[in-house]
Amino acid sequence: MDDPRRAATTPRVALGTIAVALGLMLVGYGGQGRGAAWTGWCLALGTALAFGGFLRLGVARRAPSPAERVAAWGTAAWLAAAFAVGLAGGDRPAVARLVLGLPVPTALVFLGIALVPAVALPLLFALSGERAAPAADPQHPEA
Amino acid sequence: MTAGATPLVVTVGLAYFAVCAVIGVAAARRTRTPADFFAAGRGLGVVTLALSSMAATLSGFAFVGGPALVYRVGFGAVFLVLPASITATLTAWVLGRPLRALAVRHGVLTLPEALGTRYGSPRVHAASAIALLIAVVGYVATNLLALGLALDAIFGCGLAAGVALGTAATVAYTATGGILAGVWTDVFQGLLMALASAAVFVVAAGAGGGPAVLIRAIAAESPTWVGPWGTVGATTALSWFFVFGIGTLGQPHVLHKFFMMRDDRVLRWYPALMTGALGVTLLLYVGVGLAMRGLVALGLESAPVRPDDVTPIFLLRHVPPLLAALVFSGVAAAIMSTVNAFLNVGAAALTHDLPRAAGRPLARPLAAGRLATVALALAAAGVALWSDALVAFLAIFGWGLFASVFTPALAIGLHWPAASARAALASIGTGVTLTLGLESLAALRVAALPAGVPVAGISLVAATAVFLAVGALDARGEVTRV
Repeated sequence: MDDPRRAATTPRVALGTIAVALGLMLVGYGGQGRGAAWTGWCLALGTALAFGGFLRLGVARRAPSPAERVAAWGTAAWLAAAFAVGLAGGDRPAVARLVLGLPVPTALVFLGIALVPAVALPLLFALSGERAAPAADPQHPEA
Repeated sequence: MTAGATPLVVTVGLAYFAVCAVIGVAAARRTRTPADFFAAGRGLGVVTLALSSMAATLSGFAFVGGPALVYRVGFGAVFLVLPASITATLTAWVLGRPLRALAVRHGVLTLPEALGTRYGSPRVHAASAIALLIAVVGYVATNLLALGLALDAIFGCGLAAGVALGTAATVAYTATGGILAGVWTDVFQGLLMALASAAVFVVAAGAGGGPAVLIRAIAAESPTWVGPWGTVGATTALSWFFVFGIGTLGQPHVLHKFFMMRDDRVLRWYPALMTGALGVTLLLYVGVGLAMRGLVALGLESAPVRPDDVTPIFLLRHVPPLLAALVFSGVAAAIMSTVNAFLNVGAAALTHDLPRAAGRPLARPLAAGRLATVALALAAAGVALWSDALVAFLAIFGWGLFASVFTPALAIGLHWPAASARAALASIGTGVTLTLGLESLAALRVAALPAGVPVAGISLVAATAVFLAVGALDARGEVTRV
């Protein structure tokens, strides 16, 4: 059963997250023009929050299940962590030790982003009951 | 593209076109209504939905331009396709059910119509249809040029003949069978693309002694190539991830498929299948670029004169002939499936959206849709053959224009009851103005954004910010309602 109060408030969380993400992206792009070193961190956090915010928006039509909350905020946290590994590891990784043929930071970033969400998110979606939920009225999706 | 016109490649190419023709004829016989032509009769199951969405998503860039980019800039290029691990679930969660509900409850067939219905505004309907048409002509022209190059490589027929042959073949099944023929051929084309890509990846993974040998050889020449951001740096790589991730929420040729679902149950396993299909098909993108760069670093291969020759050279020199022949046809398949999807949404914008937005729906929409498909294809082919500069310019902004026009108004608007038509129009206007304006200034060398700041990223961020700001202002009086 949809909870109108919850449904009415959750978009604010999602929209607020998206707004913060956009702000970080703009600050990052602005810093890039001045050659600032922190631009990558702004874009990394902004991008991660944008994915979390839009996913949160997608599950906000009704009271989201724990799995749906994990999908939204877990994706944001996971992406932020993966990007942070890449940013902290420098752009010239050592190649003495390789993981699956890739330098360690590269492997952590790529395999972290490519494999974990690719397996976890579709499963969470399939188990979320999305298909069984009552159809929303698209003109008044949260009414 | 380097020519691969051996008898085997030609034979496989002809067999590929024969299969497409048979599927197209069968689909054409079943196409009787505009809903068949523009929404495949709303009868797609999950496998068809996933494979046709994958085939429409990936153009020839995944097979030719992408590996060339990996070869040039290293692992940073992978950030263009890394979002594929998330985007299928993202689009299903954010847009799958709302778009399906719009199709069922209001008979909606297209994304502009979805926006017009959502906001109750013919102006939003018309504005989004016009923006879509601008990008479609560019996208189709670019892909027809790429198709001409691919067919020239397969048959050795020359570029102009290749464009003409590719246009004729694609239009033949798109104009007669509409999107129904498109999704049926997409399934065949998608399977061909996935199988060929996986097989080539296996070959690439063993090239030169394996990935570890290749990586160490490349790192000795260019240490940043093997880093997580490649030679382009973190800002550019992260911008690509943002634009090609969040921007999928505005790609009409893919989202259009949600109107075609048989029922809501189809959606449940769509993300799993779509993500898997994308992942397998993108293996070639990474594998061939890495293998060729490593082979060159090891001195086992000469550096290609043009980066776009990376895939053809690898296929012709390192891949078994039959597999190489299948991949050449796979390139054509990838391009044709994308062209089909764009021609269909473009024809729908001309014959369904604009007349309806003007309050004058056409009397014979099916015939008009077929004519519009032919007209759009001819116009795009003309552009493709007429001016390389124009094609290059048009190719730049397609994805970004769709992303900035549709993402805010559609992805946010469908979940935010207070969002107004004014907010949608403001964000669409911002997206179109910034994308075309900034790209034009850059093309004319008048002004350019700093390196690492893509126009598509700025446009998407600005259009979304404008949507949120105008929507919030318009919603002020409605807060007490909640």
